[in-house]
Amino acid sequence: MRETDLDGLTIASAGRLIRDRRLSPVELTEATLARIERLQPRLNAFITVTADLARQQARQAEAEIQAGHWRGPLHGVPVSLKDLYCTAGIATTAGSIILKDHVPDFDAPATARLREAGAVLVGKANLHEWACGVTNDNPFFGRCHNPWKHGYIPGGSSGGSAAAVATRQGLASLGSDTGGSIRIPAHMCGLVGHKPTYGLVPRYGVFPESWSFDHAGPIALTAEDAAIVLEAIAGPDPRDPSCLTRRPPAIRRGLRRGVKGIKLGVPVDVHFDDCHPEVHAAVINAIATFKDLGAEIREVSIPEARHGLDLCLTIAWAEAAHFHRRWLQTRPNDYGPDLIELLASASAYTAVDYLQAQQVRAKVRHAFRRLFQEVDLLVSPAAPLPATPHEVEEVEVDGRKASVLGLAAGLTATANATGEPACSAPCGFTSDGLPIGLMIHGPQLADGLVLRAAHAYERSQVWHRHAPPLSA
Amino acid sequence: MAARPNVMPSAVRPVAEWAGLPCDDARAGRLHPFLVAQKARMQRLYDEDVTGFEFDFLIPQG
Repeated sequence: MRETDLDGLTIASAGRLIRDRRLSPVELTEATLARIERLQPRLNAFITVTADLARQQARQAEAEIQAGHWRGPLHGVPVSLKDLYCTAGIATTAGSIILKDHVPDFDAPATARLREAGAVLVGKANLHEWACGVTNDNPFFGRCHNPWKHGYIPGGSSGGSAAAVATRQGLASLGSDTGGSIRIPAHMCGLVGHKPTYGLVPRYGVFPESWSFDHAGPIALTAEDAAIVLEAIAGPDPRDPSCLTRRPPAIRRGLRRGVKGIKLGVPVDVHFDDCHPEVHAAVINAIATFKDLGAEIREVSIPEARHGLDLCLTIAWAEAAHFHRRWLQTRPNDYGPDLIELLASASAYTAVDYLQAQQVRAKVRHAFRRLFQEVDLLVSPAAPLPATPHEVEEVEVDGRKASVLGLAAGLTATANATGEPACSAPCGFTSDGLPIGLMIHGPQLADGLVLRAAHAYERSQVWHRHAPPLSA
Repeated sequence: MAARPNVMPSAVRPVAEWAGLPCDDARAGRLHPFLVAQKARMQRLYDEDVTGFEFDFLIPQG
């Protein structure tokens, strides 16, 4: 297998070929490792490459499949993990110098479930320091670049995961999402990123940013691939008290049922404010496509969404400041310059502030719950702007300056506050070749429906088949 | 709409001290705009009527 044979593969297609013994996991892994070796100096998508482990796992997968024991679509398929998922015997840094020598002696449940599904781990992906930001400009492990445009951010904080998947340095990756950290890099790198329902995927062994806003989930090439990975990692774990205790609903079953008759809400407020014109146009076109596919489009009002970012920057940052308190006091110089002041200032939120924010959060959650009695799903831009150059911290919108972080997470953060599932799926490109993502947001535990809508849209389009020039 | 809240620069060091954070003049200067933004953010949240949601925060279902 040549390295270029990777292009066009997805988990679903590679899984079928491996099952039918027409694709060797060992050859697939070698091609993937060759690509990592070629692209790592340019993209810096990885903090650790686990080549020896990958070769060992690929050989084991091949032997099992040859012996007639095929575990499922992830068996023998190369994947990566954002470097805040604990991996037994492999360094897990959370993108911080504080943890540079931290080697866990256990696997996070999500890590273990991928291993049990037979996936091949090729490496631990780069991320924004402590998952607290969107640029992936990591002061300790280096800047990760957007594969569609060098010198541009891949989005974050799961930017290494997205840069890796977009260039098939592994066919999927696990990311984490506190205010949009799975969906923003998926939007900026032309991928499907799914933030599951809160509690669907255990977060034990995943370094936290915020216990009540964090979600673990997949970044993949297609909606079907995201569903395959999500189904593998979802389900209760007694070590995570926030985890749902019942068996998760089926995610892949019904994926091909289309969107005929589904009521799609298009928010008339907040979601299209500050939108780059090409992002706006791409999302409007996607909504028209859904209508052509038989969905019923309804304009809806959800003004409470305007609080999403404020809630994230209050509750999630206060929880992050709590987690980091001891290190902020004793090792302030071991934080990057963009992070230390954010965490230090978040220490100033009072308990009264936190409680007010939680009450507003409850109000927002109730408003969305009512909305989802009227419509099945909401569709909107994933973010109002495409990827920006690394050096740009603020952009001008309607004559005022706005931070890239605030704009990027302004729409995604609401689903973190409500705990509802939401994905970003590719819906076009800007005129200078940067991907655009469509966000599909659904009610609690409607992860299957969210990905079903993404899959239906994807089947009518070609956006997900575009590959960044580096992988050609 | 409430007036834009103000945070005096002299307030930064006591806040940092309360949180146990080392804070020299340079850090105080960098922290000040963050605290100003934070106070404005909290004001927007305090402007919201949350009557009836007093106990909901005890069940943070995401």
